Amino acid sequence: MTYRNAKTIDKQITKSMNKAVGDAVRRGVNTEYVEELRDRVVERTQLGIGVDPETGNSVKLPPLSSNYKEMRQGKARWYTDKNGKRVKVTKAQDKTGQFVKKPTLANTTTPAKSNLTATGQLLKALTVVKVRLQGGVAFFIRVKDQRGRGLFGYPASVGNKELVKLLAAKGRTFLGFTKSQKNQIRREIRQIIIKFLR
Amino acid sequence: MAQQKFKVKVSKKYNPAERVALGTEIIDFIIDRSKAGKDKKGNDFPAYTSDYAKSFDFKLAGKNKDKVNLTLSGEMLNALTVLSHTPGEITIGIPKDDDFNNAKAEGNIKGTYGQKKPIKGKKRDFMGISRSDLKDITGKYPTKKGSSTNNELLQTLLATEASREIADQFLNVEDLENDL
Repeated sequence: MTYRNAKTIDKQITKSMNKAVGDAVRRGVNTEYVEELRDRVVERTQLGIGVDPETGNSVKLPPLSSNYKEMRQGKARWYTDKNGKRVKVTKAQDKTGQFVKKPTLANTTTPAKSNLTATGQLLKALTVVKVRLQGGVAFFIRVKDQRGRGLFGYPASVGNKELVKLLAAKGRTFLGFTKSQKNQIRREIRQIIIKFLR
Repeated sequence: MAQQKFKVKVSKKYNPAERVALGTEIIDFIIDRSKAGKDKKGNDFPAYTSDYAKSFDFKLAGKNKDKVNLTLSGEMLNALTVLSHTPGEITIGIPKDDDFNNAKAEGNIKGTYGQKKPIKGKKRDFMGISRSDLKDITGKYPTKKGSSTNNELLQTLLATEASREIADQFLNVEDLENDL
């Protein structure tokens, strides 16, 4: 740890402060705290806010396409025909009444809401991993690479790891902290250090 | 929309580290005061509209319609930062390139909330600090450094600097390889 005022601070004080700061962080920044940080990523995303991967700024997640909204509303559904062509079936066209139906959405979303939530499995798959490294521990928030079920209960065509990349390619980056969230983390760590120093 | 910010006059005797620490404490104060439902003058924020209180996001965030605290996701209040500082002055606000939070803040400060004209009686101006509140904060940063105040001030300054470095290195949010 180096400080900008290092020249004006006695070396002994600096050494004891470094130890105290290290102890404070080790005690205050624990698995429970990191799990809370993970929950903040989930809650932020559920409110429709993503992260700009270039700037780290908060961004509203892009709106859902009208076709996808219709599917979530139970007004239409798509299938791939034997020629590999995507075909849309509306409720009026569905003579059986069994194909075009309202899917079961998670209660943290609505049909028109863009918050990376359909069944809810992706955001639920965010998990905290604690890794012991030489000299300390590191925490990671990762997405479990499982394959969820789609809106109508069938296994998804891609696992979560691939899904995160596909979403990011469509401007829907969520896995990360916004600048606002990083500010909050800095303030909380500051409070932890002050609390343990006094 | 315009960048939302304000300036605070402080003693010219403060060094840069003290100005940053002061600015950080002012931001902490503004956030705590806003969460307690008070504007920059210490007055209660006006109540939420019934439409907003019935909205999906309001319920999803677990908000209480009787507690106006400018916090839905927490993004706007936490966007506040020390933008710049010079001897005698600290500028606090939201970075210029943060369109999302500048828009949210402007909506609250002017009472517009995305509309062209302000909604009467719904201004929630949180961007500032009263003289008396500022005095309470600067009282912890004496310009005459006696030995009794040095230790606490030093702890605060070091905690401010250390927290920045630690937070920036602290957390990796990325997808790990499966075999880790």
